[in-house]
Amino acid sequence: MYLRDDFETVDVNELIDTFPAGTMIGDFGQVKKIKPDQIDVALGVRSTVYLRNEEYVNFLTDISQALKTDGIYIDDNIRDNDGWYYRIGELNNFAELMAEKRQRGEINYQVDISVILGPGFPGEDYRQDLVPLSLLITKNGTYDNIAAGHLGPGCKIVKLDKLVSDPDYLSSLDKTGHTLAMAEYKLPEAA
Amino acid sequence: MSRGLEFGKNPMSKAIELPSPENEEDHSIRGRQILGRSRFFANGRAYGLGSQFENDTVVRLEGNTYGIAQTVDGEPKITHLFQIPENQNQDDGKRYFRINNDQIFDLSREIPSSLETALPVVDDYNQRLAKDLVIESGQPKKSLSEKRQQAAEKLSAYLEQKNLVEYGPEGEIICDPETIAGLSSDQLESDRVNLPRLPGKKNEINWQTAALDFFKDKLVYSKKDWQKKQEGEEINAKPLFYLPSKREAFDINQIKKGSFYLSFSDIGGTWSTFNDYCQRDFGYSAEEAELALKIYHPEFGSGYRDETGKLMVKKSPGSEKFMPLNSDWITNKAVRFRGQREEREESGIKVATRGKTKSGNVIANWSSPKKAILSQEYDNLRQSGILRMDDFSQYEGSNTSILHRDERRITSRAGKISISTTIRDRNGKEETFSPGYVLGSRLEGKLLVKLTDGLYGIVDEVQGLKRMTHIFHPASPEMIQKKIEAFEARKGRKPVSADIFFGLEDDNSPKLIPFNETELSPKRDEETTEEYAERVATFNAVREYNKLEQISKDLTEQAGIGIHNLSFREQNALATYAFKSDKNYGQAIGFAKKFGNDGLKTFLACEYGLDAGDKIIDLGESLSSADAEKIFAAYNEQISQAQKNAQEIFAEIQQSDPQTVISIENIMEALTARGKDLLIELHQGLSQVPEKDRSNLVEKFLGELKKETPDQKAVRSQFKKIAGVFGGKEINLAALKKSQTLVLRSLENEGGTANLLRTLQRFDRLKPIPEIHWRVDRTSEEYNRRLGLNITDFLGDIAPSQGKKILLEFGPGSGMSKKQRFKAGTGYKYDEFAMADCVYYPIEPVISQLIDFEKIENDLGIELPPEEKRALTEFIYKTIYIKAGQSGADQFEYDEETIAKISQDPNFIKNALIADGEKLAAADAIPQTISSRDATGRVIYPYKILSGQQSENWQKAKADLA
Repeated sequence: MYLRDDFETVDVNELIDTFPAGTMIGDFGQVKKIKPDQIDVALGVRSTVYLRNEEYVNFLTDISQALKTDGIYIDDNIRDNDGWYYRIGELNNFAELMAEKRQRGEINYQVDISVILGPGFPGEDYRQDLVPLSLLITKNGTYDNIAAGHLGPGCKIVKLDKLVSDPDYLSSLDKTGHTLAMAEYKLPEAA
Repeated sequence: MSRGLEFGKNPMSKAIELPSPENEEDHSIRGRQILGRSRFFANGRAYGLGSQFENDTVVRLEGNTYGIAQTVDGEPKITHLFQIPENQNQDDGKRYFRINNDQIFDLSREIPSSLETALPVVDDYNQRLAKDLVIESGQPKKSLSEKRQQAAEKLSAYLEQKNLVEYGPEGEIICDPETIAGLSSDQLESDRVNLPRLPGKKNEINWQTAALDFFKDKLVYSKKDWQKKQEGEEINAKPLFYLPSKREAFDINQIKKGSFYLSFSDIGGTWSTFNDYCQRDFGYSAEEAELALKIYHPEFGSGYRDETGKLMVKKSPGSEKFMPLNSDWITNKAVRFRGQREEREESGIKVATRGKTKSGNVIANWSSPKKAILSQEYDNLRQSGILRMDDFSQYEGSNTSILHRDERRITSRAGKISISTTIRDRNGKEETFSPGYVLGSRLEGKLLVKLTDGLYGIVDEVQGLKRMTHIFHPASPEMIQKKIEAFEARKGRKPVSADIFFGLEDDNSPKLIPFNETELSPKRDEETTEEYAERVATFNAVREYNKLEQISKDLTEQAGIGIHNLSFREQNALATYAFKSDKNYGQAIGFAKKFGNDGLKTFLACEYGLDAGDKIIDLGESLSSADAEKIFAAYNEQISQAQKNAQEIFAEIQQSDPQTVISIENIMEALTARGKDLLIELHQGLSQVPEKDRSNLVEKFLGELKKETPDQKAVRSQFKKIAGVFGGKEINLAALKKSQTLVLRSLENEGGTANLLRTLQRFDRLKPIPEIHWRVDRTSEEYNRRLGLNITDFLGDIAPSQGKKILLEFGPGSGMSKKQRFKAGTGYKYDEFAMADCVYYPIEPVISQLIDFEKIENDLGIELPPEEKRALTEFIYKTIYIKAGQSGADQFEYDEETIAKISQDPNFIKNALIADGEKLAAADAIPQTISSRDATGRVIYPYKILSGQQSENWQKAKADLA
């Protein structure tokens, strides 16, 4: 076999291209351990899509708690794998939960929720023109204007409540109508 | 023949009335008394034994095996065995045979197997011996008690003859205590008073024993008191000698009530005489009874414990002033033993001082009370609580030794103590100087303890609970030298230690600091305040000084170790671990016996969690001693070099970033943590290898540690600290910023990333891509597409103008996008953290770096464009990952065994490359990365990359690589 000259002695660890700095080992459920008001920006790409239903809402709640005032959370988990479903319903449940908590005096901040819509992925999304790509949750503020300046081609930013109030759009997102059904379903309040 | 028995050697022996053979069947054991010159007779011959058996009894057990019966705890039993050599049974005309000591076997030790058959007989005999033993030869002798009685009567006759004892009209005993106390053997000899000899011994019973026996249980009047009584004073008779029962001797109330004319130290003779007497008749040593008497009796020290537990004694007789007991009180106010040493009556406090003879025999213990209190002779004093270890202290100088912690009671009213320090004079010559430290009157009576080199503590005691209240660092040699020079300039002569002292108010003087663990064990950055408070509360063995004292003492006595030679933190961590449970305590002592202080130092790792102590104990038990010692030595080296290395690293950091937030302490902490990681990671590693490979694993760990630069060591521990942060209760990301700064700095250096990956691998958190459809190396461009947002630019826009923001990414995979953002400059505006179950890496790029494509192209005379090279490595990677023959199927099984081995060590990819040539050769198709699901929801891979669709050159290269 044609192998490099120092094949016998080279340490493969030297060849692995990673950037592990700052990695904290833990499952996403442990995010609640992070002290409140610590994070300026939280980010996720194809990593937290396995969280569903109440677990997903709990996660969003915990992240909101950990965000600083003006902190922002950006994640593409609004779009499930293969684009077969979009978590508009869970996100709406989260928004309502936050409003209720605020009303009950359990939290003293409010969350602003926006969604970036953009082109679907060929072979994956049912619709190809404009599907929910990512969510933006901001604590006590909004970055919509700044984000609008950095959107990808064919993308736009909308408020969550606008999406929720558009059943036609929601029903067009998947073959099964699951996204619309979930948007109209109220999850049990998170623990 | 049936005869009474006496066991001559032991005074507790008793005569035994044996049954008469005329009246009942005789089951007696027939023994022969060992006579003078240690002979006994059997079969018409004389046998000689060692002189130590004189007056004991020989019993024939079976055949030519004999036992020697002695009295133990008042009961006769067979204690030794011997055999008469068989050839001596023959009639060779000899009449005397010697049985040498090496032919006589003590039953409390190992005996030859040839004698083991006699053991059941010994047991049987021992059960019957007391009642059935019959002496068949030898002469009955008078018992010791009879002889003592005879001696007492003879001495009393002498005392009467000398008018030292007289009788009143109603039989009252009137005596002359001072003269009786001053008797001597010489005087009795010149007066031709021959007291009976000890049974079987040349020595006579000593006159002191006779006197004590005679006056025991008698009440007497001194001549002076009798005179006073005759004059009408109310005087009661009292014992001539202080001869308390054991209970009375160690009961403070009873001691204080004691009424007598003479105590042991008033009577001429050696201490061994009185010790033997009291031990024999009362079960205590005369010395300890005397010491208790001198301290507590109102005629002497009139001792009491104050509210803090200090034992206070009268400064001098008649004085109303009291002082804490110390060695000075005993040694300086002692009346030297009459007849042996100069007598000093001036203080009136009569305490004997003892020392060691040149031959090493202990003739006295009181000259070093601190050691004496540890000795067996003083068991009763310790056990009764009458005296405690710390009741003795010396005012002058430090008495620290390698084994014993310097512990002294501060007895000066001004709270002055002295501490020895080694200094160098102008010529560089070393000398010990003991300057005084005036710590203030409020510390009078408190305990001064050396915590470690250059650090002392003040301990307060309330109802037996000792608490560390203050610490202070004694003056440095330089400070002392300055004082000496100033003294010389002022007085024109060299000072002695007493001339130099430091007051708390002096500008350049050590300060007394209220004890606070935070001074000596600082908060770590990543700890929350609550966690730190919990740690400080847990590691309290120094504050609760009883604990440190207890383990120090036990380690000294049982393992011959002085743990004051360890650092403060090491002692605190060790003691805290040990006191967590009785099991821990026992294990720590056992560990110390095996590995000494070098091993004990590793318990510092317990500061990161007490379970580290369990792992250290485990390492000590599961590794060979040689391997364990190597690991512990490597740990200690790591810790001992931490300060030097931290300074060097800090200097480098400061050079590149003068505004750095990193401190030397941060780096030292990082280097210390690397030592802890070595132990923890090795412990984990050992559980994954068979016993035969443990030594190799130890060498691997040591080799890795040796290769690391100090910088890498510090970084590695900080990386691990961040990685493990979710093991804590609450995560404070801001507190991790310094650690992150160190880590990021290292990634710019060669080998920096590999160092971190090895750390992840150690705790099983570095993984190759788990499934083919996973993407673990998404670029920023892909992030942008997925989010619909140019994330790098967005972050740039919201970045702070000053300082850094905290960014947390969930599941970054291999961190490719993070790396790109860092390179794009966001690294200067964001402290980026990530959260993931593992760090994942793709296999393909690794394989492409292991293959020499240039060589293939040259050898085959082909040129492979980059995309064909990528396709080739993808083919190799997927054939390694998928079971042989399945790579073309929509659904396939992974080669789990291979993937597991790569997970364990990425270097296994090299083995797989070599081993899987056949799989590669046989593979015509591999799945594309995009997966789908079948009707049942299972993941399938309908899209393929076909070998046949590749270029001819590609196929040649594949065939050649396989």
